[in-house]
Amino acid sequence: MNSFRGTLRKIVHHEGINWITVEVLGIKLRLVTLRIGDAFAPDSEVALLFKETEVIVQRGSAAQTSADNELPCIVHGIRQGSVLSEIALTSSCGPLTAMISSDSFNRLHLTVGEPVVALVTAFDISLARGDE
Amino acid sequence: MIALEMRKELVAADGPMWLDLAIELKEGSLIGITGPSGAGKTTILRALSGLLTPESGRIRVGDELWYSSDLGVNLRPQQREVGLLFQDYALFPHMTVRQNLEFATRDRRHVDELLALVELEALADRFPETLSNGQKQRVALARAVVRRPKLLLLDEPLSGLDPQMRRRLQDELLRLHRRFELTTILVSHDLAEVFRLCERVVRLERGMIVADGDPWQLVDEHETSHKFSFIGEVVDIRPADVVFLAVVAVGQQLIELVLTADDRLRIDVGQQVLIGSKAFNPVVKPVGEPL
Repeated sequence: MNSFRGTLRKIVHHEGINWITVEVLGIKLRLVTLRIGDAFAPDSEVALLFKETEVIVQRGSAAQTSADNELPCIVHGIRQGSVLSEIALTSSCGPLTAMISSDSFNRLHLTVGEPVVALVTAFDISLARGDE
Repeated sequence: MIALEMRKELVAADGPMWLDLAIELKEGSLIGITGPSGAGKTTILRALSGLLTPESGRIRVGDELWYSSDLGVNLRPQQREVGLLFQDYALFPHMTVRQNLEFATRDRRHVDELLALVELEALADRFPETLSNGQKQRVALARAVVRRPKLLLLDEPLSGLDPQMRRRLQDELLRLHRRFELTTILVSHDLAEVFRLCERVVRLERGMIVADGDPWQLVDEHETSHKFSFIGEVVDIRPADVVFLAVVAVGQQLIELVLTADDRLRIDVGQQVLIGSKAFNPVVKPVGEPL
């Protein structure tokens, strides 16, 4: 599980659905949730959680995508398996991990030290209280 | 307004504990009481109905005083206008459905209306032993409200029934509640039922009220923004490729989940884990229908 700590900056409600902006080390990340408790108010400390499998790794110049969050990263480590590969990344928000298929890994020719972009949609990021 | 204050010593599995609470109910409201077994839920209903006397307290229903330890008032169960419904039907076996209802009132028109509301007109002349469990419980429900009680007390009334019959009785219960504006207290461990029926939910733990609010609190009460979350026990973990596969028991089901190497450092067999997913992610489809 990838986890970033940050400060909740903005909540836009619409009919039980929230569009939320969280600032993590100066970078704004966006997520969408249903109703959330009162503990999640603007300026509260929160944690953002997302699965390794929910990170798309993009190499080379950006095509436009619908991913709400684009994080420039450097490949920090690689564990290649026969079906799955785990890519450790460093970003301005902190370290994160991407789980991709080894098929994609071989196609992308990823190497340690290389710049990539990690893409995560607003649907895949969960919100947790910062004190947990 | 119905106001209850009571203190009563109970014997729990791990020793004595005090049921100690004060609660006010708006007349005509439908309130759910949930909580683990032994929390004191049924004791509250027994105290309200007069089947049990608290150590101290006060029960006021509108402008009538049913019980006051200070003033030495304690109305007998028959003097309290209470309708009771438990999981067992407690119908008179030698009386027909209609006679079971008429036993409590002479108002035949009222009995006719009740029989219609719970859709039992066709079975009015049958004896209880010829009815299904769901039908028996509908008769019992109609009988509990036949005298238009000031307080309707329901203790796990639908827990012996299958899901479809339960749903049908929930509808009938709502219909009766709205028609007669009965102040109703429903004790149930079935959160779906409480959420569907009640406008207010009180959660009891070890004799104390730990939560009191609208039913949405049952949905919001999670550690994260996850709407889809369960607590389970890890029963097996084995390595696979660069990950681990874990089997987790949740309720009566076993599910298999992927753990990363990093997750594996913090999660072991025998541990309780929270499994969550965002409300957007789970696939939802009717049981038995292909995707």
